[in-house]
Amino acid sequence: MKKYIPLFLLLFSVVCAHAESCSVKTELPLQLMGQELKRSFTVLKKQNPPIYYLSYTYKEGENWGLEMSLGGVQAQYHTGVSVAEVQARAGSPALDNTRALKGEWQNFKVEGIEGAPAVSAENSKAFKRAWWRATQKAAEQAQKDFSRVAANVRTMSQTKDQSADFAFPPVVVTYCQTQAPVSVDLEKVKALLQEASKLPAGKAYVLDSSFSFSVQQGHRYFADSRGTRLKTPYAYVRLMYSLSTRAKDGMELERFKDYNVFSMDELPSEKQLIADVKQSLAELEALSQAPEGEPFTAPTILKGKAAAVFVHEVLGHRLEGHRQKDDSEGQTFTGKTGRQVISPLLTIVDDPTLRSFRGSALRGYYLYDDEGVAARPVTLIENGVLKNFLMPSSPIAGFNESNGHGRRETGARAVARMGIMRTTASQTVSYEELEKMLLAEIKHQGKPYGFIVEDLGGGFTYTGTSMPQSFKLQAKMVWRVYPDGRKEVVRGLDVVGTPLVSFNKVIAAANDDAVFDGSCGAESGWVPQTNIAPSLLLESLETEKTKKSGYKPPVLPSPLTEQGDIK
Amino acid sequence: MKNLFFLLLMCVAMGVQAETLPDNIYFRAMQDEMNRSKKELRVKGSAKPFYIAYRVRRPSPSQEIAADLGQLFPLQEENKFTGVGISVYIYAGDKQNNSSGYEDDYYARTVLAGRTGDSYESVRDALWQLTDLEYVKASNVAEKKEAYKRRKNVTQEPADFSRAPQGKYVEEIAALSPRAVAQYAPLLQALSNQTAAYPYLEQYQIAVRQGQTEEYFLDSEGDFYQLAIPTSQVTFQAKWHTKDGYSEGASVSFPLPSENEENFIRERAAQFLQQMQRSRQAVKGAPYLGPVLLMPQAAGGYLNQFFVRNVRHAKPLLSAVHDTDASSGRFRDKMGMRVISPIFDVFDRPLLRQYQGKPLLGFMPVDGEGVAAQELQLVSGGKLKALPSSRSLVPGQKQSNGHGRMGNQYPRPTVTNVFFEPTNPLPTDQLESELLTRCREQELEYCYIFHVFPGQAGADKLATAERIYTQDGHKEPVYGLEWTEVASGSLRDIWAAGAEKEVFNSVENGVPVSVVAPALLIDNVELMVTQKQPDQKPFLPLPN
Repeated sequence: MKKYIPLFLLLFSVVCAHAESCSVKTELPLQLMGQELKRSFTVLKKQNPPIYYLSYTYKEGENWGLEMSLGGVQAQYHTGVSVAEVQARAGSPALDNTRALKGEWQNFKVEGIEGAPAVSAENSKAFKRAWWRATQKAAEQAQKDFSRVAANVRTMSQTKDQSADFAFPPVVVTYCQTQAPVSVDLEKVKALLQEASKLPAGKAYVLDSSFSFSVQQGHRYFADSRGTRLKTPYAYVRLMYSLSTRAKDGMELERFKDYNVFSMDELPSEKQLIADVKQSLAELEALSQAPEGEPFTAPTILKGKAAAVFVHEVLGHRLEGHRQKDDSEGQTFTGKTGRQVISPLLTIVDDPTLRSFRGSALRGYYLYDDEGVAARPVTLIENGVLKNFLMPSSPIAGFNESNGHGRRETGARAVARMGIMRTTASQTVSYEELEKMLLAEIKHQGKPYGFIVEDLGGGFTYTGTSMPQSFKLQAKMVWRVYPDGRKEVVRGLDVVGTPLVSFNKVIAAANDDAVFDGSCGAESGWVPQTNIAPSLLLESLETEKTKKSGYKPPVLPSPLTEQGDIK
Repeated sequence: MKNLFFLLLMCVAMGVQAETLPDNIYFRAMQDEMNRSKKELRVKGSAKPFYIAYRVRRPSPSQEIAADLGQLFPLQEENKFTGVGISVYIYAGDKQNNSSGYEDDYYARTVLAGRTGDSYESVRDALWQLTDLEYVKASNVAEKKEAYKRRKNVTQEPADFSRAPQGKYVEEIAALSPRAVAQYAPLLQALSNQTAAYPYLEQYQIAVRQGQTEEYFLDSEGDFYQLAIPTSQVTFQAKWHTKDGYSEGASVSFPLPSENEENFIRERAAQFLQQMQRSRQAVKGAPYLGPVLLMPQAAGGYLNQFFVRNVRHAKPLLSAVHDTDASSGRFRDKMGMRVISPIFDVFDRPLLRQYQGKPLLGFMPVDGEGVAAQELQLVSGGKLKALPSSRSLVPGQKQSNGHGRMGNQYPRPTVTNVFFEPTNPLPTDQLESELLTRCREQELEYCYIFHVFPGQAGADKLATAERIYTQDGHKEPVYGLEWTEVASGSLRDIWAAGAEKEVFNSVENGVPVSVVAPALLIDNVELMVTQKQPDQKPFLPLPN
């Protein structure tokens, strides 16, 4: 199950305005968490097996949301967020409850959660009782998991990488930052979406449309038995729309767009939004009438965001540290540090502390990971040579400490994840020049056509050994490019391949860095991430047919296309 | 006299029979798409859509307030709106034979539903797409059903669809009162702060949610209704450890009455704490065979399980999956037979909205097939006199009595608000003394009184019973008892019932039913003891 990593194109921005420093000593939630953590740890470390490390995470904030369709409100909410989570490690750093079990489904979920409606620290009695309950659950589960791990280690084959299960953070940190909440004017957004969401009405080629807006904001508090105390803000603001249709052969087609903003004032204007929706409608209409693509291998440009998605899916997950010590993983890059692994043209760095890029807020930004470790930039690949891995607090051979990439969603256990991954090229050309190089390559190879992939959507990367360790990404917008320069939209293609071959086929890059913000789902749940990459020219890339729904378009045309029928 | 007293206690539905369709975006969208579909929706070679029904549900933006151990939560939920729900169902075929009443998988039983925006365009668009999908499904099911009938030599009488009295009901829908939930803040704070008397409480939350759902219905026979369903409720939630070390938690919700809500919340809070206290002090039960007393809430749960579930779905589904339709009630072929103790008359009253100020969830002026709902006397002197029917009749039924109820599945005949009327009801203290007398006759050391029926959703963690000792009548709370009966035989072993009735609500497959029941004395009940083992005791005491 964990071997595939679906990627969603959820885009929104990190808002860091109005941040102020504060003191961890005076923050009430941290005070109460610290008291209860100390009281618990004193007892739990003497248990058998001992709880040797304990951490508390508390999220307090609010979520806003609005969904609209054809001018009507489909959903609207404003809810409080208050979640208390306890992570416990039983055993010892050398062997603890988090070790991957051989021959069993791995357990990445944690038990110590008191979810909404949890409580506010203002109600200290209820707050402390919530931690008490969560600590009990987490400790019991950790001890239970540790017995499973101990039995598994005794009875199954020895893991090649004998590194410890946990490395204490090299430095105990305290950090406190408070941020004023974004002022949300839902009525203003409603007015904005009202007109835009009516545009698909009456378009015979549109089957479904949805427009949505959301804000998630608040603060995360972190305390652990080592003395780490953190308060960090989070804020994600997002506006998106999706338009879809079904071709006569049952193929589902979609156009999608979203926006990053720093504040409500920076949402797109009605004029801008309407222009974008019209553009997407034109693309959907073109797709609905486009010929179906054929499986083929040809020179291909992955344009802008498509290149960023490609790097994320095909390469990024294979550089996650925990995969290098798990024998059920493909371990594409394990033990290859210092060796050329991809095209020497490319350098890849993951830097979660990069807050914005050329004016765009970056969703993958964070200062401290979900294990309380300071994030830092990590050069993963330099001129095609493997240098490092994304590291959580679980060491691997040759890499003994976390570099601040232990990340997770509420309710999951942290593993290594990407933050803000940037791909650069040692030599670049303009995008126009890159297209000329594509045409030259098509002619050189004697191919009837090549591809420009403008939009890669969701997809799967299989990194485990139980399945082919390949990737399959949905190409949502693809152009066939003929040797004479003519372009034709085609539909129904997926991009497929294997990582080592594909990344060694990169022969050129443009100077047009594009930002792809998304939420990535893997073993530790959905976490916000960013990928930045230039357009890439690949000597060849393989495509195959995408799935079809099997349903026909509706028997009757849309009632909204009938003139005069709209009331 | 009894009936007069009864009527005085009830609030009859205040809507009106209406001849014309109300004018709003929901009915306009339904009417427009209905007209177009009736006229144009066909797939060549497939069965035509014979009957089409639309149901639109618009929930009001909900508000919630909650308190835990004496303090309010900072923000729970503010004007949450979950969209307009659309359900579409179509019978493809004709009056005699159509796609209804057949299943070959879960999908075939389940009504197509979707969620959309609150504009004419979005409702119309959703109706169009769901109608299309539902028609494709219905025409496929119609063909599969015909093939099944040929294969199994099924000849069918009467027809799949019968004409029935038209259902037309409209009530004015007022926007939910803006009376903010904040008004409950002092009450919830005070009630949830009762930790002095219950120091072992690890959590005690009370939440009040306000809301209502507007419901609009139109079918191709010209039937329609418009009404509002209150959805306001109060929820009690608590966690604690029993003396034996079991980690327990209970969450129980009740619909809020329209008047005297605060008193209602106080009463329910007291009951909840009392039940929890009993659970805390309870001793483990022991296997038992003998008479029991079910108090009204427990009686409601019991009658819901053994009477309501057996009086519904008189016509079994034709099924390519199962030889016997397990959802079809056991009383379907017991007309005229004694199905319950002779001390009872049983009525189904779909037009009632309240009983003694408490909401009745089964209220339904028009059923899910557009038929005007009728009151039924189901049982007279313990003998089955009538069964709820839908448009799809069984032999002996002349026409639908307006009980084709739709939840998540296609309409099937089901009861609504079931009233159990005993002859010679007894006051509660007399029921207890009757119980003790019977126990002494049987030389039992103790017998059981149930306050909550074992296994009842949400309340199963509460101590459900008390022992009452025959020697001196003292009581002792007990946990861990399980009701072993799976049939309905004990209904005939009820020998007395109480004078005070209470409302017990339940929802199954999206169909709400209210049981209005008195306390019951039942003979020859067999009880088992749960096998559950105590949990590990907490590593740490509760924090201060």
